Amino acid sequence: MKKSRLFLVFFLAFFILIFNKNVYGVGLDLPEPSRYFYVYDEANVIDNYLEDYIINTNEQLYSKTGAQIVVVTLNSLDGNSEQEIAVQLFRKWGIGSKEKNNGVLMLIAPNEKRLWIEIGYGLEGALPDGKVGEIRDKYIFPYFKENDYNTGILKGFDAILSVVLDEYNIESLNSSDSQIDGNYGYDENYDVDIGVNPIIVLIGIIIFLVIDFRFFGGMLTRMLMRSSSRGGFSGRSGGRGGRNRGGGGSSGGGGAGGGW
Amino acid sequence: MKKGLLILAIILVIVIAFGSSIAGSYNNLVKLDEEASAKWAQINNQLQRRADLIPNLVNTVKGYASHEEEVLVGITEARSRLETAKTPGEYAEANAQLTTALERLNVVVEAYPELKANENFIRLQDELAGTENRIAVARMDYNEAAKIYNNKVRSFPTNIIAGIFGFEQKEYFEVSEQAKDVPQVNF
Repeated sequence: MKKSRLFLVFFLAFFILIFNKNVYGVGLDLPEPSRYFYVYDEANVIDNYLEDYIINTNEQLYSKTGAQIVVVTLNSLDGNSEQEIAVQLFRKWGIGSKEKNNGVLMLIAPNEKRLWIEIGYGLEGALPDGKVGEIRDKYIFPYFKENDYNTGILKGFDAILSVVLDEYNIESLNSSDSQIDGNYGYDENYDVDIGVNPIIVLIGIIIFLVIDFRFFGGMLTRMLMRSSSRGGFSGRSGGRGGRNRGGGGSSGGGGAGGGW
Repeated sequence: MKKGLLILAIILVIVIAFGSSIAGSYNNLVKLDEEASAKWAQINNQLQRRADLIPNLVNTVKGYASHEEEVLVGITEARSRLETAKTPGEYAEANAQLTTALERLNVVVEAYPELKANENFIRLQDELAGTENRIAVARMDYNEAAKIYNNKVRSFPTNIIAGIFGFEQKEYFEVSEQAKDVPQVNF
């Protein structure tokens, strides 16, 4: 009886998941966000230093304003328009905070030479399409035309960042700023502070393991292990403790882009 | 006496069960209707925004390419059709007509490098492109919401409640097959 009910719950959850995907995905095969969320470099054009810079800057930005500026490169658009992929990805990942919808997604398809910068609803005032187009023409495309993706992404990212900071009346993000020490920007659900209460954490883990292996045959544990090894710590310096996520923001197609 | 009470109780339970299920269906319909209407408002906003950008664009183009009267008239006409549209289908058709007119403009513009390099013109083109993309997204959102609502209105037993309270199906924001058959003028 118990087992069958459990099965039913999983069955339903499975269907809800499938259903949701159909509503939003509309046949697009969209990637899951990377472990550090702010950079997803499928086309492998972003250098490590730039990746670190974008992630660090975003963690500070998110903790202060809830805004998120995500950079994504894709190997292929699979025949879809860059705008279509951008808006679906934006909504799937939930970029920017849910209340403020203040996310930005910079989507780059180097092979197709297409770019789209999607602006969340909440930043459309600060970053109207014309302004985004200006950033594209001044800071991004001149470098992309020379195949210098790192400079284009960096300059474009900084230009967008400065507009966002202006919007929230912040002069600059500074890593020595006391507010953003430690893991402030991480998602609290993942940020287990082992330093304070190791016993409680240990008990929690044991309870989790017991429940998991007793009722789910260890499925959850295996899932967790797999997802953490997939994200991987390899190649990243500093040993990050947490995992970043989207804040649940949405967008409606605002922004600018095009081919170069 | 006891029997009568029991029957009364059963009837009461049935009435309450029916009543609450009708109320539930009704409320659900209202909710879906509101959602679809809100998404329609999004399309409407963006269409209005697109229409508002047109006079500015036409003026800018006139400064450089005053000979292209025909193209500009086409754009202005499409814009005024957008202003007089009433149903989602009419809006969609006027919008498609405006898209065609703007595409013609883009072809013509190639002959005017100065216009193409004009800062104001580039920004207007970006604003238009962003607005068009917003319309595409809003259209997807609306049609999705309208589909969910329409399914509810049509399926049993909600269709009975929809009939009683006058919930009608929503028209999709799309160009009808008839309008698609209108021959396009070639250049």
